[in-house]
Amino acid sequence: MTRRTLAKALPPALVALAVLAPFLLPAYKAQLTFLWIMIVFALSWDILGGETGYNSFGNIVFFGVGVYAAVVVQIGLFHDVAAYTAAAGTETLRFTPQQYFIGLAAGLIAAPLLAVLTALLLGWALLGLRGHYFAIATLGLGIAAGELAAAWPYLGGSSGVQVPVYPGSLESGRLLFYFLAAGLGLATLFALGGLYRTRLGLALNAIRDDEDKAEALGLHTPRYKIIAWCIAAATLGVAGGLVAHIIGFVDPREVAFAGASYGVWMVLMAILGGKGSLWGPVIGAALFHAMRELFWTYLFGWQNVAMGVLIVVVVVFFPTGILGWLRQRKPHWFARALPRATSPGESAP
Amino acid sequence: MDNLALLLQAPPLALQLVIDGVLIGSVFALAAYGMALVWGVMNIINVCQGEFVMLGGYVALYLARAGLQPLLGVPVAAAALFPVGWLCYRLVIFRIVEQDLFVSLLATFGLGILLSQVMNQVFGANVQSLDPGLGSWFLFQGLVSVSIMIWTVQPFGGLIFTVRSFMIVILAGLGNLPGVILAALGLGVAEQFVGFILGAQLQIAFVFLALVAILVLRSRWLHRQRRYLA
Repeated sequence: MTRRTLAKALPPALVALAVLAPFLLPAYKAQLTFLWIMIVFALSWDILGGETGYNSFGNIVFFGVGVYAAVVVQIGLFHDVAAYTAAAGTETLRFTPQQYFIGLAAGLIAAPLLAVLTALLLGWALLGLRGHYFAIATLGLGIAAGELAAAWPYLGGSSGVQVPVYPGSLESGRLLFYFLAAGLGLATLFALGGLYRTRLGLALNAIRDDEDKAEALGLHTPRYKIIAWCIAAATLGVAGGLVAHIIGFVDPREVAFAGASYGVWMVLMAILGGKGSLWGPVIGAALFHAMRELFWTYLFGWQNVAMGVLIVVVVVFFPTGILGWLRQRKPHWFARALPRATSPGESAP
Repeated sequence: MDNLALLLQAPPLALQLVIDGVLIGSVFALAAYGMALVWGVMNIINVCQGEFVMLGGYVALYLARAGLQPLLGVPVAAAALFPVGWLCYRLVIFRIVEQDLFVSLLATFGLGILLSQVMNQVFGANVQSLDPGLGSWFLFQGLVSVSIMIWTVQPFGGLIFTVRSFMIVILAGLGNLPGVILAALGLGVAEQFVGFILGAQLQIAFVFLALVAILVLRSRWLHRQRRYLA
């Protein structure tokens, strides 16, 4: 099978697998849903991190903004948000199924819009920073966002917000959110695959390779960096809206702005698989998710220690990730065949 | 904001905050010196600096509980952390010294997560504190108290310490030793005021937001703005 036919067959095969998975493995629906969310995390981090070279520890801010935006819009369309959050869980809201789904749709549209707005503001302020200063500044933002949300009574403060309950059977709800998450994951994968082949992809890589030279060549680097961050923010915003409904409860520091956990893990997933490529983050996300489930099952209390060990091991021994390691060992897997020269004097086109 | 009114009504409270800030700021200065040393010599930003601080705190805490004279706990904790640092270097750091700064950032962050989770497992997630009974002085009819060394440690308090050290080192600049002390004391006092007026969560948010603000302002001051020939 040539590389060409593989590339052509892969997308439909992937879509088919995504559609069939919850029926083939019905007991693992929740894990599969989160697997797609992890893939979205890793892919969205990689846009700015691997492709543009701006390692951000704070992308979780957009996820959290999406979480709160989706929930507040959904509740706010039909009830009073401030009164609900002030009641801190003692009040249960009644939604008709129609209200729930309209709210859900509105929330999933508002979430990426608000996240992109945040990205525009933050990008304008922060994308002038370079290298490790950008990384630490975004780390600070990620944690600060969690504390600010915890201090804002409208969003429920430290008690968080109880998300409206799905009006239907548990199974149908799980199935719905699986397909929404899989849809998001596939859309992100295909969109980025197409994007990286355009001039935008080349521009981002140029910024990663040498930003000063790129500017000297006339590339408007701030615009491209902000575009990249906005794309990441949009996907993370939708992911946030979905996760809010899957988990059912929004805690500002553990669910929405989980900076020290998911915020760091999205970096790790992309690096584990191989940052700077399209499939690297996907592989990294899948492997990471599997390992995390294994750790949780077998190590319970010490799973987070194992996570720390994993981060150190990956960063120190596999900085280029699995794809990078494979590229070294089996370069012919990544080779592209050049067309033959037509005569001895001509070079290949 | 009620606390702000309180502050204006009773000025000695401001003195209390300044004294608290200076005392806690001196601890920040110690942590910042460590970070400045590693950064200056090896060009590594040690994100697990805060976890080392917490570990030292736990060592001193348990020694004080076991009966050791609290002031002696400080040098013993220092001696106990020395092999911890040596182990970290031998296992992790020496492999990443040659590589770029982001690798060291992520690796030390991983190390920090590792250490804080180990502390969480071993010592429990509660905030532990100990009053060593070294005496307090009360001024202004009890409005101001000066107490030496009340320890509070918790396993996840490391990251904010790291961020504070990083901020202090950036403000002072590498190699500027007196600057580190001034920046540290200033940060301690500022933090105490923000915490008193706005509350504990906003105090934590203030530390991280101040970091972002300092980085952005610093980059503007250093004229790294991108300008294009229109």
